[in-house]
Amino acid sequence: MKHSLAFCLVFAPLGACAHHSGDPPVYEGAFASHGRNIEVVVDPQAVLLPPPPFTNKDIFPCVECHDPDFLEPDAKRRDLGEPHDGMFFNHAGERIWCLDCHDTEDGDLLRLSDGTTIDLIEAPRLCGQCHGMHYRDWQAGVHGLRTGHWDGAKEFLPCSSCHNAHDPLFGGLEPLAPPTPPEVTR
Amino acid sequence: MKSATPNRREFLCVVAGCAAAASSGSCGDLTHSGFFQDRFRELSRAEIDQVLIRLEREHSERFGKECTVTATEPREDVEFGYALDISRCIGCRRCVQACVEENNQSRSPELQWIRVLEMDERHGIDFHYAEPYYDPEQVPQDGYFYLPVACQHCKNPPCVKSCPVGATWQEDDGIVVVDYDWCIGCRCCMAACPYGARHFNWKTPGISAEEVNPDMHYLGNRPRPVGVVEKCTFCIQRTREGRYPACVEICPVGARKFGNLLDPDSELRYVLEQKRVFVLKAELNTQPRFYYFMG
Ligand code: SF4
Repeated sequence: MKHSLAFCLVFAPLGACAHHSGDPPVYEGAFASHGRNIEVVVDPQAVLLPPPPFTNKDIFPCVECHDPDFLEPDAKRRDLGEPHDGMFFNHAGERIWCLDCHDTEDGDLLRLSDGTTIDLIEAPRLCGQCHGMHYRDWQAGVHGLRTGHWDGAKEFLPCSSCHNAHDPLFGGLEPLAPPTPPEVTR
Repeated sequence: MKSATPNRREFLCVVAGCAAAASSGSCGDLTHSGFFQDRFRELSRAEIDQVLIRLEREHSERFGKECTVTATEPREDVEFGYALDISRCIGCRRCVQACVEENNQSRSPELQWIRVLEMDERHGIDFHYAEPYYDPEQVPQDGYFYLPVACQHCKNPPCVKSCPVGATWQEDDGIVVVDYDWCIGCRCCMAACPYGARHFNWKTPGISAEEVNPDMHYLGNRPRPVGVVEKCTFCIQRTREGRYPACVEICPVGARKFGNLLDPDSELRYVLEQKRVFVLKAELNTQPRFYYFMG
């Protein structure tokens, strides 16, 4: 028998309780290995976006510059000009560029490989297209941070809360103070 | 059952009775009624409730704020396990601090249940090359990985076997606990533990009223007296209520996983079934419930 677990995705503040109203979008391709079937439910009502890397004010929202009324979308892969100089890309080298993830018409939407456009908060579906193993682990609660209850409601963070999509490697941190060595008495 | 020879408690009653008379009912950090309390495992529920009320009163008075002390029991069909992804841990020591704050560890003198070891990649997991005092500007450092170590909650715990008075034991949900009111401070368990997970209170633990976590468990984070041994309890005051341990919730890279080993849908079972998992010092047959894995 397949066991179905539904998790609420709450971005911030941690520990906040998700509430369901309306029909929350459900991630497709529910994870069905390991003898179970996990549906990851995103409740837009419950989502309070923290400042993840993609909301850097200089580059977000995309439509601020890429307004289709004024700027004709150009889907040709090319070196981005001066307006993007402040942006740092270090994600899969030369192999991917903007429109492999962003929608051509509306840059503030993401586009899956089958053409479906999704909201930024559903980024895990997009990231999971390449990073399948991490996506599976994340759905099972094994990749990334989970808070809440081991036997009940959990909150967990989507990819872009910890990873800058343009430069996804998790950076370093300053360590907290080391323990005090024992006193040496002679 | 009463035996013909006086047992420890009766003996203590006589000795302490004299001492109590001379010192107006207190002995070190223990109050008169605390001193005469029987071992926790032999108390009836009514007696436990009495003890909890006394402890709540004592701690609330000491810290000037309301403290609650529970003794929530293990649940049926639960055996706790822990998994730590060493391919993710960056050695930032956030878990160490969260543990100190949650579990009322002494700030002065400093006492910490989690020790994060910096391991040299060239030597792998060889404790001869483990460095707990690393302090670079930023972690992780190239050429090193990080191995946080605390109590492994072994299925075959050498510390429990070594305790001469039965002050430490394994609960039905797998948590190895210490009765701080029964510990005589002989430190046999510290010598027996191959993970250095047990710590001794050489001085009265120093915790201020602002620092103290008032949500306490008898076998967990209630403030300890001087002269007893303490260690990680899987945050018993949280996990017995269904919550994740504090270290799990603080880890910025989500390297720490906790759950019920008996639940086939738990994160723990996923890790055990899908990842490369090892335990520390497996050759000692301690059978830890603390697993390390590479995600
Ligand atoms: S908080 Fe997480 S990353 Fe930091 S030392 Fe602890 S386990 Fe490692």
